[in-house]
Amino acid sequence: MKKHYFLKCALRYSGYFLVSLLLSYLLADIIVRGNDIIAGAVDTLLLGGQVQFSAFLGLFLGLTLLGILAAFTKSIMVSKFSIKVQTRYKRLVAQKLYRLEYKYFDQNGSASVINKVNSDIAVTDQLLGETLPDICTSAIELLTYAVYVGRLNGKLLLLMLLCYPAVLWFTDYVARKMTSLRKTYRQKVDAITEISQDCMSGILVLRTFGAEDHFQKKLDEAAEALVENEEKRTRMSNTVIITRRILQWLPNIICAVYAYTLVRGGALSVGQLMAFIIILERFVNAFVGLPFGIVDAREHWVCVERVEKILNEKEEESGTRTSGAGQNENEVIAFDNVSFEYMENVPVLRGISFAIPRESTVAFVGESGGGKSTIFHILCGFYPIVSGEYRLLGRKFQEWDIEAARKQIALVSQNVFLFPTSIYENVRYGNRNVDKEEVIEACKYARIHDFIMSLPEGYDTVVGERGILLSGGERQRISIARAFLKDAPILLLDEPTSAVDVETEKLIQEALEVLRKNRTCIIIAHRLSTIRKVDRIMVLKDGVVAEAGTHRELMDLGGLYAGMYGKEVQEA
Amino acid sequence: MKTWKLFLRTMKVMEKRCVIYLLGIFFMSTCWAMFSVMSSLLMKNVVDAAQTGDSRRMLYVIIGNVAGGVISLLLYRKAAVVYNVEAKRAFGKLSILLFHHEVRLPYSYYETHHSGDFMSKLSYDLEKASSIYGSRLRRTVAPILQVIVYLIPMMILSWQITLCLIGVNILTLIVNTLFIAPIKKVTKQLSATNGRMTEKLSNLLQGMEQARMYEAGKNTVEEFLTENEAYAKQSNRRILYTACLEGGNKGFDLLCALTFLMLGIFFVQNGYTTLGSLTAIYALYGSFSNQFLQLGRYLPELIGCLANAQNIFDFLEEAEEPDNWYEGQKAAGTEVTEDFLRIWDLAFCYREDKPLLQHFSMEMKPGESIAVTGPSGCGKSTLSKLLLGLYPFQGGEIRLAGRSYYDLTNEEIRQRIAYVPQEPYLFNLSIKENIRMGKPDASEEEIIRAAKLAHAHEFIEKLEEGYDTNVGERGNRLSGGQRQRIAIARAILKDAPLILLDEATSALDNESEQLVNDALKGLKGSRNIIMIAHRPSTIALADRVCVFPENPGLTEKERVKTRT
Repeated sequence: MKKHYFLKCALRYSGYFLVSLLLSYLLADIIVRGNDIIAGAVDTLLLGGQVQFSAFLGLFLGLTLLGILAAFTKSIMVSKFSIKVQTRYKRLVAQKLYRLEYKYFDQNGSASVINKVNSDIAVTDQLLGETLPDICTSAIELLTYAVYVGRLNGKLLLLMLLCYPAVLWFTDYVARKMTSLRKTYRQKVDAITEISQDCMSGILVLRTFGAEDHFQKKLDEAAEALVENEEKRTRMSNTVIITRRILQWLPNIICAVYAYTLVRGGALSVGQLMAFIIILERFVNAFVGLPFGIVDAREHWVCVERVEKILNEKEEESGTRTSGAGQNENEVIAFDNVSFEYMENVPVLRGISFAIPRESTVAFVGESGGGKSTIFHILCGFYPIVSGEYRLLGRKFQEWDIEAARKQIALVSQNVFLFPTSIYENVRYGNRNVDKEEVIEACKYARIHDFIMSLPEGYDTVVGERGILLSGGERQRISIARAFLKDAPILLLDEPTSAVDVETEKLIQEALEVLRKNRTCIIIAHRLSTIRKVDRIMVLKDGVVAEAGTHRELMDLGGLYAGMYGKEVQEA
Repeated sequence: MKTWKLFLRTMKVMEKRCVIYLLGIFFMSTCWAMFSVMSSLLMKNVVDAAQTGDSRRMLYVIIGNVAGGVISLLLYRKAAVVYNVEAKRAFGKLSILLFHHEVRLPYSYYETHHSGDFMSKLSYDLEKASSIYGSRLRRTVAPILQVIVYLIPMMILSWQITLCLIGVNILTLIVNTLFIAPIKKVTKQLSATNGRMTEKLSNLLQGMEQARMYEAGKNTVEEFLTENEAYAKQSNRRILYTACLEGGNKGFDLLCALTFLMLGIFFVQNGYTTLGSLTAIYALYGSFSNQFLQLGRYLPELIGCLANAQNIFDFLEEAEEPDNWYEGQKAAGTEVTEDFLRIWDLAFCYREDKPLLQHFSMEMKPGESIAVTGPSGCGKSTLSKLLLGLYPFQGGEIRLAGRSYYDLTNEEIRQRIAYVPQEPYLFNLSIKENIRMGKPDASEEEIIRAAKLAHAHEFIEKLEEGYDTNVGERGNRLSGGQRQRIAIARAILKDAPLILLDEATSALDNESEQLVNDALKGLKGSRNIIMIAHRPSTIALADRVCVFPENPGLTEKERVKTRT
């Protein structure tokens, strides 16, 4: 059953909104009453009488005061409603994002999720704070004015109600047409920025191949296309604007002329005609705004629905147990006949089984796409297995509270994300409950301390967006320092695929040597030379363990591993 | 004065078209206002006729008014089209100016300014600056023009009432202005909080893997929630200010109606004006007041955008890369040899206190392949940048195919070298176009031949759209190995005498590396190849290895490797 979280939030605070609607009615009514006073005065005047200002001055001042108060309170109610709903909604979204199935991010990409969430939530502010109240206020004003005109003359109201819906229909049509045109404009502008962004990112290639003129030509074309498109768009949209203006004018003329005949026929007084014309102006303003408000609301709603879709995505499954079952020395991690697939019918693991004893080091090797990274994903609980059984510390993974399970594991991965803050904060990400001393100690273990100290601002150096300022080897070591701080019994280590220079490689190996002590360690190895000394090597092929054993044993076996090893040695 | 000059400079970008553009703004604003004038005159005539009963005259007058209104709108449309088109043209022009400059800066600029940073800053500035053409200027000028158009008939109809109305409007304007500063302050605080929230969320999402593996991820969520609550609290002040403003405005609106009523009736009673004029003024007053309150409102925004324009103009002042770095300098005059490449006594540093290359020399015989290796930071990559003429060296000389770098333009240097960088950048174009970058006039056959030599043809053929496959942003639809082989095909197609590979295989897995190495093997002998590399398997391809020493540049150890 799909839940609509946004509506639920809105309903929770709907009291504020209802009060604001009531006040909208009050305001419209005040205008109508003031208008009525004018009409009366004009008629007295025309009949040759003297208008007594004192008679209605007090009344008018009272209405003004009431109007100020109503407008003030209404504004507060609307804003409160918007803020309250939004705050609650954002809370829901943030909590949801943290619990979403990991799969979701793989499929959608974090950048697009960030854009979606940030811009779409900003839109809900507009929807609640402006669009929705505007629509409601317009509707209430229309009703109030219509009732007033009806009291003046029924036929006049009828004419008004006949004329305007036609205009309403047309403006709605026009508005829809315009939004589709706007999109093409955005595309043309984006085309221009994309070209220059592409060129800047690839400036080295661009320059060395002397392709400046090639792209300059492309940009000229894009700019020309923009102007051409704009010419079409603006012709169209302005034709639409003036047609709309004229069409909206038409009912005014018809109604005014009809009211004139009513005056001539004596059914309406001149004062009432004046009042009618003034109200008509306001009526039209409210009427014209309404379809635009609705179009806006519809667009905003699309954004809300997008966020709703995220809120309705599946969450990570989590059990309740926070510790392992009866400790078995020979089985810290165990896979029994585990199968897994990312996409249906494309199995990645086909009934794989292994057990990893306490404080041993195991390495997975095999071709890319053989399932090495998948095993890590499963170990961390990013993806649930399709069949078989995965036990962590002797307990079925499904029974684990997912946060507690992850506390057992420190992951040193390839794509280390560095937050755009200081190095100190980045290392401390591994464990927030440590002091500076401990952070420095971890960095020393990770062989990154000296490097950090060589930076102008040491630990306070801010690493750039996505940590671009640091090299792969440096990032890797920061990740190792984090793992030190986390101090989990199980260590997952995804070796970097890209080569770092010999020096750095040595530093990383030293750091890992220390980190592996007294921990159960699982390595994804890309270079066989680094894992010769591990307790057990498992060769993955086509989603099963094809060979397993120590380096010696596997070399003696003369199978897949021996072949891979031979090839590597030969290349070196 | 400075602002004014800046404004003129912004207008100058449009050159002669500036006049058409400004006329567009003028007619757009005045004609739109004229329509409202016509519409309210029509109402005046109806009310006046209702009193006198002269239906015939009313008909003519109404037809006249309608015609006037329609003509105003047609003129408005014409002006609006001109205005919008010219505004976009100006945006295009500014983009082109900017691009032309962007791609021609000295390479050091890109390295010292993080490309993402200065690009996003520039595109932000560009967007803001071009919004001057697209909206800001018109929004600032239009209220002035429209207020004048409204005022003329209002003053004619009844100057007394009009003056009183202006008085009330000025009061409103003052109150509104008083609230601007405090509201702005609160809004700034709010957007700062909002910015922090966005950052927290981005951190959470971008580092989702870490966020889930470390408790700190959960803390990030909690920090977000705390900021969220703080935002709600901070909003209270803004809510109060806005409410005061709304209440005040509504009050003035009603007060205006009151003034209008009392004065109007007083004037009609004493015969100064007619009921029709009163109606017309009231109808016009709405539009007038709307525009009057906008007076000056958009000026700060316009000035703000001019500051962005200033940034762009400043950027355009940055020096471009010269055609030749050594203009006016005399070549060091090394002896001319048979060598294909001769680097002699080269000296280079990025910062004067940190010499990177000193007395560096190297030779390369025609057809030779050399691997350059050494610890990171020793200047290997810098060597490739010097060879490409991306930086000027400070002493010594390079001779490529017999010609000195002192005599070659940067363009000529780059024509002689086909470069394959570590990050094999592909542009967001088709595979074919990406390869063709090596030789703009290459035929289809030439492209395919290059792809075959680069061992790329096979996988390209397997793609659904073959050579026409778009590679996506940064080539992300292809794997690293595939990208690198296309980059190599591009270099092969260029048919330059020297192929320079800068750690071209270091980011690849073994399989892809093998394919790339096979491609290199096929090229050996026919071209001179310099490969900067770490991997033994890549280094093994070379005829000779040049090892950069740890302590940069003092001596060059070169050893000839006997091939097995």
